[in-house]
Amino acid sequence: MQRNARRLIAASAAVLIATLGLPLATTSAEESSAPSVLRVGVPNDLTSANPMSLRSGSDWNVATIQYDMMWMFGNDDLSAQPGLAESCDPNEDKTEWTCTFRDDVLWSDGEPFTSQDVAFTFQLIIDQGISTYSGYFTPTTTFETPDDTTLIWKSETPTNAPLVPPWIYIIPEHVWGQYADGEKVELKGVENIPSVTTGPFTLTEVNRGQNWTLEKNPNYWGDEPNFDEIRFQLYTNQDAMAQALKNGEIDVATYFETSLLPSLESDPDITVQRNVSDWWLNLAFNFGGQGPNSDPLPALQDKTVRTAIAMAIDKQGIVDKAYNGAATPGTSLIREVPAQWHYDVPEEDLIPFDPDAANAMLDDAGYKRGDGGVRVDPATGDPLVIRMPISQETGGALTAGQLIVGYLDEIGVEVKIFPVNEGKMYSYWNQGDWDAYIWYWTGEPDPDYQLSTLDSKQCGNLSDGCWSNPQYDALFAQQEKIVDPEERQPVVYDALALSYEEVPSIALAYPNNVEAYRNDLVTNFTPVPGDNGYLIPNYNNIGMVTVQPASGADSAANSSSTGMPAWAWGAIGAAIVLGVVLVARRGRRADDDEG
Amino acid sequence: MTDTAVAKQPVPTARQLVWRRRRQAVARNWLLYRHNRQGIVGLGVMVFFIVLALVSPLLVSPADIEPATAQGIPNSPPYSGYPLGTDNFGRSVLDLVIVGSRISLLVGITATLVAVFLGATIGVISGYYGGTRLDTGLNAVTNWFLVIPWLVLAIVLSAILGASVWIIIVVIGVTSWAQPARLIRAQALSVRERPYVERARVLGCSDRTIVARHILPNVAPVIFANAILTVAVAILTETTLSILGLGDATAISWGVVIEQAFSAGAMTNGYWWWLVPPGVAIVCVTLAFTMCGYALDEVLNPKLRR
Repeated sequence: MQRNARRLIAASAAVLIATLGLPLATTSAEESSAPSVLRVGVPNDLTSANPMSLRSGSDWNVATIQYDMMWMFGNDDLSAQPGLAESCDPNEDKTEWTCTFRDDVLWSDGEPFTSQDVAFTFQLIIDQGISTYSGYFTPTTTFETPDDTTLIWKSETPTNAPLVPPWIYIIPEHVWGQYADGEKVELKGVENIPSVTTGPFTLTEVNRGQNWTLEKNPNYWGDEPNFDEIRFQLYTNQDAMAQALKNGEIDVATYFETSLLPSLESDPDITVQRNVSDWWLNLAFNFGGQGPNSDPLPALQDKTVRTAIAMAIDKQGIVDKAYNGAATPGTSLIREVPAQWHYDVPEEDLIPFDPDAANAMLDDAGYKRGDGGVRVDPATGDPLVIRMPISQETGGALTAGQLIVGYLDEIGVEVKIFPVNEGKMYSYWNQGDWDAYIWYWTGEPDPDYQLSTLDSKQCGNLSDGCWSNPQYDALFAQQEKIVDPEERQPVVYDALALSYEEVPSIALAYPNNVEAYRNDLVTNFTPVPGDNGYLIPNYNNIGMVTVQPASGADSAANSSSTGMPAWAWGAIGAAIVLGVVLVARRGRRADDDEG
Repeated sequence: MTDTAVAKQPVPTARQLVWRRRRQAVARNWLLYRHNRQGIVGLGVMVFFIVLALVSPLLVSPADIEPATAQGIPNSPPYSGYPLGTDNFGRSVLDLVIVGSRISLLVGITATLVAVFLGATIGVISGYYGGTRLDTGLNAVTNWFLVIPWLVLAIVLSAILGASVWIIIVVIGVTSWAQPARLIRAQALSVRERPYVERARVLGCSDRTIVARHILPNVAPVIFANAILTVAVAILTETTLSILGLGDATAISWGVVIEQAFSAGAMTNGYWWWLVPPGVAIVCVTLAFTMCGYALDEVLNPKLRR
């Protein structure tokens, strides 16, 4: 109670200072007793602070800020950079890796960090079968820790996993050891607040559905962060989040919908970061074979039809209208970042946007137009009607779907869209009673996971529509075995080129993630990866160390909004009042009648 | 029948008599209605929107409201050719409002038919058999539907059943029949006690005949006035469900237009031209139906007559 009250006063004081337009420089913050706070707006709640059961975007953000991985993702290219680990050297056949760790790292509770913690974390994941992370380990992986700074990673089959790098947050054995032999459910339910971590901040307070606070880790091994606290504030309404940023109630916010770009960009105090997102919008075809009610359109087995559909879709139109231009038209299965694994489809192999050519292709293949201009499959005599469920929760998906209805109408393919929620999407996928759907894909920097989604062995597991191509399966299996990235790249590219040419699915767009910050309040973020990277940590936590209050942070009370003109608000208000009065009157009248 | 003076003229049949009386009643009521200013204004607006909905295919070509083929500048305030501006696809908001009238009115009126059919059936049966166990049972069901929050029920139903125009109609119908049922039951209870009903029963008329011939015609005015009011509520409900994202996003109704405006950040970006017109249209139509309903109530319910 007492503590909350003090916190409240501190927060109010901070807001008051900000609104009064007093400078909020580091020096003044250090001198005063009030901690300097970075206020972050996010649209999704913290569902779990447990690194073993991360779900929402906020979960990952918070875990990334608090915990370190074995390596750090590089700021520019997401390659493995020294972090807790300083080096990892393989033996000749890459079945045994010897990794050396820093010896000067303390956990936030003062206990020393050792390589035993790393071995514990990895072993816990293997023993408990934590599927988020277990893909890094071969079935024969074992660990040895001859001393406090050394980890020996052994596997009977060659592995490249230690350098991928494994995206696993290292947790302290002295805190988590007690759960190692228990039930997985129990492990996943552990809250660990305040948390014990090696990162620059530790989570100290969580108010679900409202806000959560991270405080500076006094024992952090890297540079000292400039802020004492990071407070995340939940905004379930995007408009409210934009207004809070404009009014200076928060310093930075992430996961903005692209529809708010015009409003954000019109404010000179706000800097907008459109970063290369880690997900993309995907249209997948159903090839059948999955689900009890599987009855996909047979014509979709025909590559000509799929290619014609790809040619009829104006991806730039989707980028412009569904994402306000904050996206890149999609090409192959792996997005532009990391660049090493993104296959830039050569000009001559690109499937162009050309409805006329698509029409000619379908004409030549014998798909003649029937009733209402809808083409008929010569093999079955059925019209080309595509049932297309669309995930409403996926940003831009519904808009893209509405556009695609019109695009495919041009080539005589009728699309029936079904905008549904995420749960219903899974139900469609489970049942198999769909022809194509629009959903999203997201993966990790290493391409293995993403490539596996088209592997025929993944039918019923990760595969969208059970596409099966022996040549692709062979390429996938081949790239999995190659350890050297240089040698692996051409094989990965071959697999990507094949999956682009065969059109088992269409990457519609790589949308940007929109973040925005008050350039008059905070400065010196470190975007990762590269200049167009994430400001709020998604890969590594450097950004939260470097970010600092803007020098001469003045008027935060700039509440000039570019919202609707006053009379429009007035009209809406009047309409609401009128409606309320009517309803109230109606209710009374009904009561009278009844009496 | 023994009156010989009447017998000299061609004797009207009972049916003719009834219809003559009904025509007279309608004429009398119309006379009363005509002098009700609120009723006339409401009727005018209502007719305007119904005609608009009927002729909308002539006013707006499908290509203009198809996201892929719309020609306007996206998110633009009013300019020549687009008197109410455009949405994010470059579709004219005026076109959307005109086309939206179709689904909004269709849902409003059809859902009302469902609600009133359910309400009238249950209300009349319940009222006619007032005091029996059947009445108690039906009353319990009605009470149950009256007390559960309709919005929550509608949200749950549409979330489970999915989002299509017909499902929305059923959802609205199912959630809004209870109040009409209540009113109709009350009326039926009072009609049941009138002497002519008793006389019919003594003459040996079956329950069905009594209900069809005597109860229904006498509760019809209540049903009618109530139906008109229910349309307004149904349109508002459809709008509410659409704004909450539970409507059929593929069928353009005013609620869906507002929902799309919201999700495109129209509030924050200041796209007033996209939000205000459908809102005004909803207010006008619900107001018109409500005014008609009140006016009818006054005309048909002698107790309210001034």
